[in-house]
Amino acid sequence: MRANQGTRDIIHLDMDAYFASIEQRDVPFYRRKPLLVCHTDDPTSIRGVISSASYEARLFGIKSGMSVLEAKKLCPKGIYIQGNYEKYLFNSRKITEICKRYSNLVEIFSVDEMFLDVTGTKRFFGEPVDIARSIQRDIKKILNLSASIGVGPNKLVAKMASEFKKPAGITVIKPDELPQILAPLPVDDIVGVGKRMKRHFDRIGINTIGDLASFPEEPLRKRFGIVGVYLHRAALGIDNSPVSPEDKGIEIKSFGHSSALGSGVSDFSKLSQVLLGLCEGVTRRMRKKGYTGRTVTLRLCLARLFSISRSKSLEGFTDFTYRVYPVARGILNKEKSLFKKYPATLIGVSVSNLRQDNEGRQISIFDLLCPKEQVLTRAVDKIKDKYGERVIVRSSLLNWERNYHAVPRIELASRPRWQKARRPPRQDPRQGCRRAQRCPSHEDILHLGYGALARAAGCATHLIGAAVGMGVGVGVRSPR
Amino acid sequence: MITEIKEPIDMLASFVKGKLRPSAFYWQGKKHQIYKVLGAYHDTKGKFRRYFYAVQAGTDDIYEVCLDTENMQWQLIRIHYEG
Repeated sequence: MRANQGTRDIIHLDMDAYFASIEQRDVPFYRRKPLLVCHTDDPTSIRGVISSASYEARLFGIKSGMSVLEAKKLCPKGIYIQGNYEKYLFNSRKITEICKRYSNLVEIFSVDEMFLDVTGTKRFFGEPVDIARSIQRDIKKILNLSASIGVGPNKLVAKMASEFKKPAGITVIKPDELPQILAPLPVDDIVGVGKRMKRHFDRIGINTIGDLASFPEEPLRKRFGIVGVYLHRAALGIDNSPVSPEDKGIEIKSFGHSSALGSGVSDFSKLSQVLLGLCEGVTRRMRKKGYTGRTVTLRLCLARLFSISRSKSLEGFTDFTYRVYPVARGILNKEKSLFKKYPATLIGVSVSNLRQDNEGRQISIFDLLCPKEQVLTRAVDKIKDKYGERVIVRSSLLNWERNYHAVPRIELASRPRWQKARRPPRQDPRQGCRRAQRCPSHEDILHLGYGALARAAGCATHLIGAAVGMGVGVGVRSPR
Repeated sequence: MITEIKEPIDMLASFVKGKLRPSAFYWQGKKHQIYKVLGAYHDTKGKFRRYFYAVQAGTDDIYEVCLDTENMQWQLIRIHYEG
């Protein structure tokens, strides 16, 4: 086995039981108890999934991603609480600030994982292991949280190293140590080897990383394509991917939102309602980030048994709900027979095939036909920017936020890109603007809270003017 | 056990070295002296910032309080009770 002979020093930081640790920090009597942070709107129910489990809870076999239903069977006396993602993101930003004291090359891999390239800064702060200790100490002192750190010659090795000693461990793997350390490890310890790939490897007798490293590359390339080559190199400890800081233009591939639907929904109008809310969320984030897109993908999980994903491309790029929603709804309509039989337990929509606003905005025929939609959308965006996301909402969405829990998703291309870029499907030029399809803002009534209406008088006048001009009613919701 | 409250409270707070720290609050006619701030974070609602604190006050119960800078109002969000 040969290793990457580069002279880089990469640190991988992985927070220990992150969400659960934050909650145990803030509420002392949760410490040393099985605590489970749930992604749900009601932790007393069996809906939702486990976002994070304390080490005490993991002793019961509980893992992140497990359903709350399953977790409650394994650990009925555990403490189940609702997650507070704003708090976790706040702490993540603080951790990033701490990391940036030691390197300007900090890549946020996830909310609780970071990579640092300290090759150029170790002359100031000491050896990488000393930098790792300093970071651990600072995080403990400032945030009272614990992190495990791996140090290696590249991101792949550093990430594997951080798993070796948890919690609060530091593991250093030097290039010449790679063969004896990696070889005996199970092959699915490599990032990118999931259950399916492991089954493929099992069939050809590859059980450990050492087996994969000593397997000839050409048969792997023939069988698995570029993925096989990447994994073979990973088994040899080779990974040349750079640490990409967030301000160095990580490519966003899509914007998506999904919502769990509890025990399942078969009603088309209810699903359409949820879908409208998801489309609003997706397009709002796209406008905020300055992206337009043209491929709409609908995802449905059916009866927790299987999921389907269907896509359709628009004729042009857009960031408006009135363009995205009819397409998504049309796809949903085609799958009616499926979710009548298998109730949908999750619904998601994403827009991909993106372009940034600074690449130029193409005006399409649909935008010319619906100028007031754009005026209304921009006015609503202004109100939300000033007063918060929930101050104004379509009347048809008044109940859906209470009942369902939307999760935003952004797919990042910061990992080594071994997937080929896909061309969008050809469009049928005979498809036009189907006015018969519902344009949501023509039917909905916009509701404003009393307080927001009083404060936003200037903005609301413009909004009401735009809405009335379109024949849309504007209503005021009574405060709770 | 967690109980959602979401009621306005009167708060005594200090500003030391650029940091805001709650010191004591009045709720349901009783003064709660804060002995320890266990955690803090802030988020934004529109253009206004909200500051959240998890505090220990007198008993083992943990109180989550919030200052909304839109109206400069403190609120008791929830209480975590042991048992």
